[in-house]
Amino acid sequence: MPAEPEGNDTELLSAYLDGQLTDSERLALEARLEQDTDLRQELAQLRLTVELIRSLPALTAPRDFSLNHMMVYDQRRERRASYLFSFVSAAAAVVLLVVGAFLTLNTRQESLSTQLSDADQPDAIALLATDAGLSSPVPTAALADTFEFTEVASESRQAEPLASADDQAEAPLSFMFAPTADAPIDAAAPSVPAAAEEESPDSATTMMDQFSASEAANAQTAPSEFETLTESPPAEFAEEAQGEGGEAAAGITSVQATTPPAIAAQPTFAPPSETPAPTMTAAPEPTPIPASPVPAPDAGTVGILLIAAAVVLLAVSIFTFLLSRRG
Amino acid sequence: MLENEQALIQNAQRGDLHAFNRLVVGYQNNVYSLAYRIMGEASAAADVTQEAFILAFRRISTYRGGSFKSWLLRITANRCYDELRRVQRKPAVSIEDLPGAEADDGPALPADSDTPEEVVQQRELQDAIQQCIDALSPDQRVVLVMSDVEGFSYQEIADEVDANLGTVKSRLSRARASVRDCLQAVQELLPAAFRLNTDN
Repeated sequence: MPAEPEGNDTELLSAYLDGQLTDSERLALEARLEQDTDLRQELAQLRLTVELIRSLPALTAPRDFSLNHMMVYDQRRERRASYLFSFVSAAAAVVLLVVGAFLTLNTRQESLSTQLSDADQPDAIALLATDAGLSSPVPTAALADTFEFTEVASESRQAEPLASADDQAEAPLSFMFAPTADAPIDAAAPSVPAAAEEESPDSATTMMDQFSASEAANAQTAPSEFETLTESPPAEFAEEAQGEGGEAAAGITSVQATTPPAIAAQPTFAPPSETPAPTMTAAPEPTPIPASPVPAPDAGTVGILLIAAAVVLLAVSIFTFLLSRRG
Repeated sequence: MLENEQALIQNAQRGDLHAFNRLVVGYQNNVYSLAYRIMGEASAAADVTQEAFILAFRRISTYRGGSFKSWLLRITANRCYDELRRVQRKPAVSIEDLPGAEADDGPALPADSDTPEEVVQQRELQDAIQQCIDALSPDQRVVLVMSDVEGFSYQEIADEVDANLGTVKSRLSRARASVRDCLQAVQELLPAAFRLNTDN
């Protein structure tokens, strides 16, 4: 009969010591043990080994392992709090990411559409640039008027209500924007009054106040409000003027510097004054359009900042989650 | 079995930490001893012992009767098994294990002390056996200690290490053979009755 592999014998002998063999396995093994000296010797060695291991004494605990409340409860609470924080911060990061991406993409889209709109009006830009170079036949007042319309239209969205509904209804909008009809820049001007008329009737009252004030004001004491209205036309206008005019001053500031005399010649386009004209308006006290000294960040910048904050928050969330798992 | 053990367990299941601590005091020697035999190092055994008691308190609602000591030791063995596998994945040397450093919990002490000579002799023999156990793989070590030190059945071991009976039987036989071979090198430390003399 061929000898079985030693590994199988050892497993059989080990199980035999523990009484884990079936009856047939046990009888077969005992029959072999009676004849095989080596097998008996191996069984004896295994038995002695098990007895040695079992002789190992029980040990005395080196200290008291009694639990306290911090061991039992705080770890669970800390872990739950860490998980909660990581999940909440991850959710906040996702929200910030979405909002930031929306703002950024929306701003880019608006920027592209603005550029396309500007590209459709090359005449106006060219006229602006030419005027900035002081060689244009276009009256300076007309240019200033264009800026004024643009600014007033945008400012009117933020202006406080200045008059009652009745006053707004009686506001002579056509009179207000009548001067632009004479302006040679026809491409840009008509759209602005229409927008102002549709979006904010308050702007009509504001414009009326400004017009009233302009009649009463002295041209040589041009108020700061006019500067506010004319000092912030789009930067691309200034760059066009700089590039083409060469000797033109840097940006619209130079245009503005040349504007007051022309305005004085045409009172219709005079800048509004803070002094109300008692005969022209029903608004008791005109509210000056607030001039913000520090320009607010645009939506694109805010979007980028939100995305950056989301990334940081997400990193903190992941770090906290990993720490919680390790703890 | 401790006095009023069932009452203590029931109170502990209701969240009574004081009652559970009485169980801890009653069984901490058994738990620490098992942890030391499997981990082979005092500070690691103390850490596992503490974690095992914390785990036992959290899971005490799952205790459904039977030997509370066996239930506690199975949790301990399972925790040791997890720790050994974790250390095996990420081997690291703790400060206590560095040469010259002393473990906070001190060396393992025999429960029964006889004469100083006997203590020394027993200590040498126990150290030799423990070193042979430490040389085993984690799988074999846990099975060997649970079976030959703590007396768990094959089925109980299989349940704890998540293996079938055949695997437990195989691991145990290989572990015993390895310890047998290991002890051949230190026969001079063995008592005469336990000497593994191949001539006998």
